[in-house]
Amino acid sequence: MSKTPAEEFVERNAKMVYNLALRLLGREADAEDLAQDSLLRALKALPSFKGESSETTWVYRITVNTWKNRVRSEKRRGLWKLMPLDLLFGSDDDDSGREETIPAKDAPLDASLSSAETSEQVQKALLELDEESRAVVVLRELQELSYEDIAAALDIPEGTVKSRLSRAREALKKRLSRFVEVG
Amino acid sequence: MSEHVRDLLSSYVDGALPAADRARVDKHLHGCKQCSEELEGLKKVSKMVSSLPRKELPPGFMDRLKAKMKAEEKKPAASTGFSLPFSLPKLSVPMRVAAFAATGVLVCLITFREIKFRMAPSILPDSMDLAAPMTAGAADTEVDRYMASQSAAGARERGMWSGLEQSAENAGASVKEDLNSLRRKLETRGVLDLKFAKKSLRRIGAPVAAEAARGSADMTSSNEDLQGFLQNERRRMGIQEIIPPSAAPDPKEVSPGLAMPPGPQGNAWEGVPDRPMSREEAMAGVRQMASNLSRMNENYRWQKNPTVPMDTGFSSKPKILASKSKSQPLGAKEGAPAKTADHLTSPLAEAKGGGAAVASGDSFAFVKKETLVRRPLYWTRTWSNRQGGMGTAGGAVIRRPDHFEDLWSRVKFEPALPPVDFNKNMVVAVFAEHSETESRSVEIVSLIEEDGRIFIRFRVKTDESAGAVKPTDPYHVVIVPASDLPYTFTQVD
Repeated sequence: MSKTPAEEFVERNAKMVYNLALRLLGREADAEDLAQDSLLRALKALPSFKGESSETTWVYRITVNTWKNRVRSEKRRGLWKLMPLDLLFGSDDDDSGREETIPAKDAPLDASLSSAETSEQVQKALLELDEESRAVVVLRELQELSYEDIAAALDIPEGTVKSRLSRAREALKKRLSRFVEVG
Repeated sequence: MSEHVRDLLSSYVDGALPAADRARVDKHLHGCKQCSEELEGLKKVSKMVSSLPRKELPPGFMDRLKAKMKAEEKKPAASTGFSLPFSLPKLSVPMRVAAFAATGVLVCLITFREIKFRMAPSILPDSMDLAAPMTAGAADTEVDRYMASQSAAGARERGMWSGLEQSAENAGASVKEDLNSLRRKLETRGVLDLKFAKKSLRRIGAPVAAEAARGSADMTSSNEDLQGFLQNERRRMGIQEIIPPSAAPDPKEVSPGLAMPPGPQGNAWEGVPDRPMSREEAMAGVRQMASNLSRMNENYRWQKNPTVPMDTGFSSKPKILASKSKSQPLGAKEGAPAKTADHLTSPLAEAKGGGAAVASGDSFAFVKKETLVRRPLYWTRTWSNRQGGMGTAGGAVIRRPDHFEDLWSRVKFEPALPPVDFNKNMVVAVFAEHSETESRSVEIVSLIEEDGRIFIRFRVKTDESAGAVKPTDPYHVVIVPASDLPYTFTQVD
């Protein structure tokens, strides 16, 4: 049996929507939910899609908007989504109140951190960005959209994309400073 | 040397600069070590983010999506998209009697909470409070008061009640459906209209019709009473959301230190007898159910996250308000356990104009009533440190030993759990967000009961001296005399 256009549409876009959602939210369960809602919304709106932008950009736009709506309504409802408490047990030798700058265990971070740990830190740093900046960074670095496409997806001027991206990278650089020390 | 080009570097990394700018940056980079390093840093960051792994769709993703699509198709156009966040328990016939008999209160109670909850944040300043456990006694009083207000309609109501019991066999099967449709209508109206509810209820069981019709005039007059009661209940129970029984907390999210507190584990009807009941018993059942819901709610919230957001206007990043000159390091000794006295040298004493008594020991309860409505809560033990906190900003008021134990295991304040008598005391904790780059400390400045609410004022400070400890996960934990009032965390300068 051949596939319906709707099924084809979903198959084309599901994975990238899911990955976008994952990086915006940081948690797989939340990401699935957001991705599915976004795809449903896109499907509903599909008949009215005129092709002003590429389909991909259009789907990204819907996903980001769905995400923003959710963030807004969660803020309104006062529900508090804390970020994962991954730092909690990150270093277990710092409860003595001593004034050492860096615990010895953490010194050779660059060398010893596995890529999974790095990913975790990067994802955490992403989640610490404000929503607007996070969206710009994720669309640029992970989805590899051009400035023009990001502007279209977020409905903001290209100049704003540039400045947000620049600021966001600065912020990330600070947060990830122990990984990006140069020289 | 030409002007620095930092602002252009991000676009430079992306190859998005116009040719002229690009040439200028190239030229500048040649001679400027600072900008070159900046560029390297940006490139590294860019690479780190872009090399985050792309994940495959989770197994079953497509199936679940298709199920959602089907559900969407079936949804009637007029539907509001609103549904009870938990499924009504499947009830045996006698339970249906009880449930149905209680619908006047129960349905309205839940619906009302839902409506209030959904509208809450803009109109209810206390919507951020952690659920305050409702004591059985308090619930009884409230319900009794409500029931007393119904006494005018009492006789008729009792008649209606027995009618309900008799008609339960006929009515039972369609109760759930009708409750749902009733709830939807109430939701659409957005108003709790008892008269309307009664009218709808009449449809459920014909034998009730006559009684309800006769009673409706009186019942309508008590609409306000009911609303008042529900409002009080909501506040008392701190209802923010009703947790679906199916939403058992993800084991990954439950801290290993937390044993599930005793109490209902997903069935709000637990403890309600499954047999024919008198009106009084059925009411007690409803009370029990409401209380169970409240506790489930509390447990669930606790397991998700023991802290509540604080009133600072920040979403996740605390605002550092303290100026550099005011910044005072907490110092190493403050990590030591059981400080008993010097906390009162602080702004609390200033705020209160001095005169603060100092005492030690958990049993100490300082009650200094300046006025009837204003009472500072002095802490008797305190712990603070720049490291070892939660790593996220939040505040918590802990009134139960198991919650305290859990908090202790999460933050690892010290090896042994200090004894706290939760009959007399409670624990207040404030955490500031993790910082790699700033040496932060957090300090509870004052704890004051005022007009039926506890105001917890705290301050986040940054120590910018060179040797300051980093990274920081600051916390401040204090033990104060118990108080069951709602509370607000406020950051001060």
